[in-house]
Amino acid sequence: MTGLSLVALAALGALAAAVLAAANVVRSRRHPQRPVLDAALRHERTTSLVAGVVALSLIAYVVSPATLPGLTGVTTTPGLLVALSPFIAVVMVLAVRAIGELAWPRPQGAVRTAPLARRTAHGLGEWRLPLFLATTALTAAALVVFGLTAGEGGGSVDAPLLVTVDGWVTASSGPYPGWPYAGPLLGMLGVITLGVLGVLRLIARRGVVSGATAQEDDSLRRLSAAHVLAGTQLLTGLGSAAVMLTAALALLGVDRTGAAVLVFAVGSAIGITSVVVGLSVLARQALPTVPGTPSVTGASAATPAPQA
Amino acid sequence: MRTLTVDLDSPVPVYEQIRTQVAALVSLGTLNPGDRLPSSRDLARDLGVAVGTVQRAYRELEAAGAVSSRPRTGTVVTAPAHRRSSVADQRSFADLATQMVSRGRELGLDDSAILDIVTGLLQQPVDAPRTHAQR
Repeated sequence: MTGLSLVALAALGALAAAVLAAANVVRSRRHPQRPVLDAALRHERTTSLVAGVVALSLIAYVVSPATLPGLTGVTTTPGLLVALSPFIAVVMVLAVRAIGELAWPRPQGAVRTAPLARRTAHGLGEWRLPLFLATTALTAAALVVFGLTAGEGGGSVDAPLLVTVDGWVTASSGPYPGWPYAGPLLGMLGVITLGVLGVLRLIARRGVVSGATAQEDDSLRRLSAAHVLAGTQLLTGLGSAAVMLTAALALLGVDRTGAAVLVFAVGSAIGITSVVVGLSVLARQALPTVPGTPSVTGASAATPAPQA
Repeated sequence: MRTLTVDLDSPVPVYEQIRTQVAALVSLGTLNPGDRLPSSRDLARDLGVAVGTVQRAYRELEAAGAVSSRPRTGTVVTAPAHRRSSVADQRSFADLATQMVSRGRELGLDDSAILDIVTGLLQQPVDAPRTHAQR
């Protein structure tokens, strides 16, 4: 890693931190009567901020003109590290989130309250968890297909064999995510899936926020889960879309137009959906609306904002 | 959302506080047969107490027939077979008790005084006449 790259990384990280901090200031509100909830929200947002900065910094470092050419040849499989970078970023985000959950304040005070209800990772995941699992399943299926259809070497795809009077003609186009790429990517998807479920389990099992009602505590957990799943969806979806679009271009290069269109459509759908879903968490209301106080999204207390 | 509250400074042991509150919620119908309670480890973590404390409360509740614990399903509220009254009758009685408690509070009695009265009544023989000072 050169000195210039380190400076670039530090500058990009600082810029990312400033952007996320500004977004947090816009979203945050001081709870008028419950400093304990303020502290809990602050912990949650700090963890999300750090995770976001880590991910953005890594992505920015990988795609920066100063480092991208060097990273392309680091592994024996050209460009593998670049292809894996969004998924590596997810793993780092999950690691930061896990540390944040383990550092959650323990119950304090003589009088303590706990909800008499079971909490599960699947329950906290709401609609985001099935969407994330569907995204990874679809990506995994696509990677298996790419691996099975790649040409010799796994880095390209072959054109349909064309028989002419002079013999047979073929061509190939790449880069194409055959097994040298699909294998490690499948492994990363497995690690990410287990990591997401593990972090959700940590969220479900962390201690109750002292002084919070059961409903408020549940809302805080669901907020944490939404942050984890939104960030994971965004990065995994963009990484998956990039792989599929690369495959689509290669397929188009060997006149496999139907397959190219299909892969392009699926990749675009995953990418667009993941961006929308990932960013929608910014509009999520952190806590149940307190009568008489302004809500985070600006909606009135009589009309609670829909949960993103 | 049903909640449990314990006071670590209370002279009543924490496991007893847990046991009585869960038993009361079952009696009042707030917890119904089939409702799953949090695992002892999760509840202990939420309350910041030792796992053994919650496990003792669950054991005593299971001995009383209020809950049952199974390895894969966890702790579940049960409908005790030995109860002589129906769930509807119990809820009807709970409504009467609610009115009694409200009346006691209107008269200025605190909760411990109300509890002392009920405990005293329960300790009397079934057919003992109730007497009170004539004004």
